[in-house]
Amino acid sequence: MQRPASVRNGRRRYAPVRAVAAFLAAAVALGLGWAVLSLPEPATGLTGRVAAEMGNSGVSHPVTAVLLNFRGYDTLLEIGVLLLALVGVWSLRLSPARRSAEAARTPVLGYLVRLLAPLIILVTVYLLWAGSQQPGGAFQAGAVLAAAGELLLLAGFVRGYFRRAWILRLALAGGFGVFLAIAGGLALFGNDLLEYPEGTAYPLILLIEGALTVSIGFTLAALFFGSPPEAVAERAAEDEA
Amino acid sequence: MNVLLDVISAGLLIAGAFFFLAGTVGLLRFPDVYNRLHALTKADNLGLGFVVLGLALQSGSWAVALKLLFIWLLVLIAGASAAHLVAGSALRDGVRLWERR
Amino acid sequence: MSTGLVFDALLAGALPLLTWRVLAARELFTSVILFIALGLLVSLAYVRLAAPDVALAEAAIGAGVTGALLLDTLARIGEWRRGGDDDAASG
Repeated sequence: MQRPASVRNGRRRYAPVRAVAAFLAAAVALGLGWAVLSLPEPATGLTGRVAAEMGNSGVSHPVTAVLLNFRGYDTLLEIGVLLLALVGVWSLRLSPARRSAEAARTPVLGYLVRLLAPLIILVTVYLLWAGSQQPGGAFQAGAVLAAAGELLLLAGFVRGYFRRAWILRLALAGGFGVFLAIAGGLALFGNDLLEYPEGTAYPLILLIEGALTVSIGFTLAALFFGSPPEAVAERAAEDEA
Repeated sequence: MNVLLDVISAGLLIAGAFFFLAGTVGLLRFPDVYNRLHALTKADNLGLGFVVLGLALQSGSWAVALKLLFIWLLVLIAGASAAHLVAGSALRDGVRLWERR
Repeated sequence: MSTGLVFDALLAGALPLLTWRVLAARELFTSVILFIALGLLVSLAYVRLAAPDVALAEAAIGAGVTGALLLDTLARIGEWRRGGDDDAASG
């Protein structure tokens, strides 16, 4: 579909504003380029300090160590933001999009999804497990899991809500909940916030990452689907009536 | 032996790139959706096969080569299914087949 | 002139060009498809910057989830414009 008329007609009227915006954007880009190019040559940064502490971090991949150990607080808040985004989308109370007529559906989509969904779950677990030694980790695994969820929703294998609503809510809030519980529990027992006790870093990180993966997968798939369970149940009731 | 391997790999990669180029030219120049799907799916899958073969020769281990082959198979299946679904959707929307005039 | 530099230069040139095409496309559908392609190029850029984790995340989320989300949004806008549901605030 075309862009709305207000946008198309506004192009001529607001040309000077757009020119100024383009100039400012180009100036920022050039400034960034100059700043990056004038960084000192042997890169001074936190790489050395991270590498020095890797033995205490419980994992052998520096990115995972930074995300879940050294800067775990940031990751905790990121998951909270993701959950908030879903709450925002759900507050719009969209009804599920109308699917096209059943006659148009070919069996090919079903075969494809039946083949891909288990493979995707395999890749999810692999990315999660390998994240402690290689590129991978909870976010990547969660995003891949969300793809499986989207495929299942598009092919009609799942309906967008569970008959027992608590399953969906547990899956969505579980990641943030587990992370917060561990962080709070550690703080209660005398450590600083998110300071893992000696030797428990690896199992705790694995537990947190597992819960995060499931949560991120369900949250992103729910963002894609858009309708809260109540709206899906409403539509189902309407269609039967 | 290594030089021969590199030359063969390079040749396969160039062949793959050629097929991708052909697929893209088809995407840009063919007259309707169905023709473009033909060009894209077939040429791109074949091109990917050549690229995978060239990379597998360079990989140096059977495990990596098998993984690459598996990736190619998955792309084959997904690409063909996606083309089928797009064509079905276009037919349902009433896009008419191009006739040579 | 190493091949790495040529590839980087091509990528660095393609990114602003593709971004311009995304914003200037006549149809919203074209914009969304080009946005998915842009996600792929950005993922390649992250690989060249030696950040494979970010590249994985960008490919999965930026191209996969966000692309599907935008396409679904387009479908809902189309349905809303055609006067789809009678629901007051939803579409």
